Amino acid sequence: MDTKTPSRVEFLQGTLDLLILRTLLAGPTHGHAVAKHIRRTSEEVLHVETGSLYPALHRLEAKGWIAASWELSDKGKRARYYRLTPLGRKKLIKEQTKWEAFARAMGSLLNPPDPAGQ
Amino acid sequence: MIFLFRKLGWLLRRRGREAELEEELRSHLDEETEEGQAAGLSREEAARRAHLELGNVTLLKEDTRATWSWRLWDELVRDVRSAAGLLSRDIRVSIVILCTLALGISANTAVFSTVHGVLLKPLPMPNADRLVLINETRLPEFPEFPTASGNFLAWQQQSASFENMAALVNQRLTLLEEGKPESLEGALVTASFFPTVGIKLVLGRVFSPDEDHPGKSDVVVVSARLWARRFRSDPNIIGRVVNIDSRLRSVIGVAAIDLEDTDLWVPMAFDVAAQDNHGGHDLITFGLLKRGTSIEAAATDLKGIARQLEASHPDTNQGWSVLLTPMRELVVGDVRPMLLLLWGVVSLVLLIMCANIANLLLIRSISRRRDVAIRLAIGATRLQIMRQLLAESVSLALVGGGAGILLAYGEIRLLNTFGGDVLPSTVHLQLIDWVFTAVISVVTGILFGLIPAIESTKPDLTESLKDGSRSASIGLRRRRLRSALVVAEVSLSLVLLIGAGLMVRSFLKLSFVNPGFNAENVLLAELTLPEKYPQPDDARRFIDRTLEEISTLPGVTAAAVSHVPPFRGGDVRGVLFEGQPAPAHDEFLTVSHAAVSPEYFDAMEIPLKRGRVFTKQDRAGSTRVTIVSETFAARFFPGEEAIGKRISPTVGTESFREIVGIVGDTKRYGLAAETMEQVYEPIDQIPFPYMTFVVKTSTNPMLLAQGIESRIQSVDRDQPVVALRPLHQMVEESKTPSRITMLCLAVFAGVALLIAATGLYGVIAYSVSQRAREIGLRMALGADRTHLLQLVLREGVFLTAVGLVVGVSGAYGLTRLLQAWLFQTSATDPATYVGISAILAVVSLLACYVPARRALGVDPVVALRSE
Repeated sequence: MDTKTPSRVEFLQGTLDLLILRTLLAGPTHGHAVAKHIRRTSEEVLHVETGSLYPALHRLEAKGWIAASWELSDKGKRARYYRLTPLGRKKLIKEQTKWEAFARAMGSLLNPPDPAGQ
Repeated sequence: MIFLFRKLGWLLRRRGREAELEEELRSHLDEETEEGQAAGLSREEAARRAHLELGNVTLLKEDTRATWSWRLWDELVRDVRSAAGLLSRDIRVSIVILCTLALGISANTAVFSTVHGVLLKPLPMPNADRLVLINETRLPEFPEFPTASGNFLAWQQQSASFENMAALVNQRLTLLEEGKPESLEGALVTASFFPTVGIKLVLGRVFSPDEDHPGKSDVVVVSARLWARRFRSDPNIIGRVVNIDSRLRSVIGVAAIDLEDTDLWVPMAFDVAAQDNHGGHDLITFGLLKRGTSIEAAATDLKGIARQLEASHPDTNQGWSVLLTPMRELVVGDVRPMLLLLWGVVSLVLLIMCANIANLLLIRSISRRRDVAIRLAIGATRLQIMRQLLAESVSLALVGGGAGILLAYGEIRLLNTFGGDVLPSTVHLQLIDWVFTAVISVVTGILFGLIPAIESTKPDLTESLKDGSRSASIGLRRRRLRSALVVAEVSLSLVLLIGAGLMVRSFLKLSFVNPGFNAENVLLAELTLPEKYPQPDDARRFIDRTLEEISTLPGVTAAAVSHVPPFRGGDVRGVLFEGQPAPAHDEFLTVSHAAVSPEYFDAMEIPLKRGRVFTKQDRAGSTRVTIVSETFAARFFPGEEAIGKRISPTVGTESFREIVGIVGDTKRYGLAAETMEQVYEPIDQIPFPYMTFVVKTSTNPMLLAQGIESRIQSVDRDQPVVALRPLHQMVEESKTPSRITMLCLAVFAGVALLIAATGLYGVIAYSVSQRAREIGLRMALGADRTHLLQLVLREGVFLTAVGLVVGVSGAYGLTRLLQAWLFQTSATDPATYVGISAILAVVSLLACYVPARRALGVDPVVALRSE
């Protein structure tokens, strides 16, 4: 467990990173597709601002969790495709586990079990 | 670690990234637009929405760029870039600074490389760190004396501190191979020599202990060098029989050793007499310490044995002890003090240089005062700005260092060329020297950058921001600082100059020493007669015939012979006086002894003071005669006439010789050495198998070298001549160490003076420019020019005076360290101190005068208008 309490920015960044990594688990895609995927899969709840998406993608690339290359898209145009690296995959599992623990904790806090035990 | 590499890789591809990001964003926009269109929007509407969706592109790009960068590196690069910009702006000053840096750093690198290459280089023998030289010693007359064989054998048997011990005698041996005689450096060694010293065997084997006995010792080991040169690296050399000194020996091995020039090793083969010899000292002895045994422990051990020998052999060993010296000390011991002196000198020069540059930077920083103040005002920390300023000065220093190391290559070349005789090995620039240059450049940069950096960032914001501010407090503080720096420069230079002056004076004194003979046009030819000449008569005949042959050569004015070389060579003996009781063994008076032919004094132009020189009548069989030097007569026969008295320069068989003449003293052991009492005998009465022919010529002696050699060989075809050298050259070469040290010190002192002078010039020039208005005003009001000059110069004179005082006091304390090098000159020689101070004063005043004069030449109106 992290002993450091992440700041708000870091926390949000961390969330975005997790979403990107999860999206890329399915296979390599380009930036625009990642944004669309997140939007669709979250049923339009989570809108990723493009302004944060690209910096996040580049940051993840700098850290070595994802790798990028220029490919031809299915429409025949050149696009920058990102894919998960083995390091990124490990990070994804770790972060996902942490997130699920967090979600469970939130859940028990918000819906405490009935003291009567029904 | 990998993180670092990745970051670096990223940094390098940054420009490409910008273009990529552009393209990426454009393709994003295209996608978004197309989707919009697919959803039914018009192209323009879709495009508009896409742009809106993208948001603030600038901010996006900024954020993305932020993920690419590494802050620390970025700032460093920016600092260096700004430094480069500043340098090119102020190009003249920068060039001066760079040149000074290159000079100072290159000198330091050159000296470091020499120190490290000579003093720290591992010796070429594998056991070198455990190898010690063992001398016998009897203070005070014989501090380091060769060993007597009987003593050596006693040590070998009884000592527990050494893994092995060996003895050696250097001897020139003549190799007669294919009819060509060649005189080579040889050595008689005990069989234990090779394992003790650890020589590498190339072929064959070394002596077995059996072969180290008389009668069984007809073997020889040759050097790899000789094997290649004379035997064409013949692989079948083992077993080959060669003629060495008319004795046939079988080659049993080929060995390689880098240190000496020895080419032939033959067994020492101690005989029975040698075992009992405790008084004839002719061996060089070494020991290989056992692992874990310290040299002090071994010394104690041997001293104990020596004391036992004193008790058991009182007539020979009374008062004799031992002295152990590590091998390394021998190789570098002579040259270490000189190198350390040089290092001290170049360090001082570096300090002077730093002070000078700091001064220049202080001046320059004044123009950036405003700049710095603004930055401080908007929130930059003092540390940040200092870091930038230091980065600038370190960059400057590194560039100077780069130029410096190139210069150092040239300096090392010079050092090798002129210092070849003094240094034990040649010096090369190695990797560690490059590292040293980088480090010292950084240190120098920090040294000279620190004061300006601190000074520039002192928080006096409001003052600095004011336009045209002539704040008293800042100005005063800076001026004091710069004055202090200049005083430091001047005094350090003075120290160096006085040191150099003392060395020059000492060298001049050395040059004017009268050696007692005339070295001009004298050729020396050394040779050793091999065992082919067993009887003294054989040697006599050889000498007579050779002298005859040489005298007939045209150009030869006089031909003579001496058994030891007339310079840098000598034979030391005890002396007995007829009518006086023989002194106890430890009180023997020692004198220098030489056996010479009658023409010797003529050829060497040694003046005859009283009596006569030897004649042809002084032969074997006639009355034994001797000639002594003036000092001998004065010391041993004070107030009386020495001629007619009888002395015996041999110990053991006392046969007295009559003194028939007194000649002038000669400096046989070196120009700086003390004059030793000298005794001469006719070589015919006491012929030795080794001799030096002394030939006086009418022209350049080297022209006759070949002729003389061929004359010698016409007497004996197989006789090689060891060395043919002009005496003049030998005497000159003996001055080389002093000459080199003096030259180095003089050069560095000169450089220091130059730097200090420019420093002084800079301070005065600046001070004058600051006071331009004031001066203009005064001139306009009709002030007398001379008066004005005095006013301006006052500061310069004051600084010079303070510098002189501090410098003289410093020199007084420091020059004591030089005393060891000084010949007939005191380290506090007043004439030198006064003279050098005067020179410095004149140069300094000149450096002040020039800018002052120029300032006064300016039109007062212009000066008044200046700001």
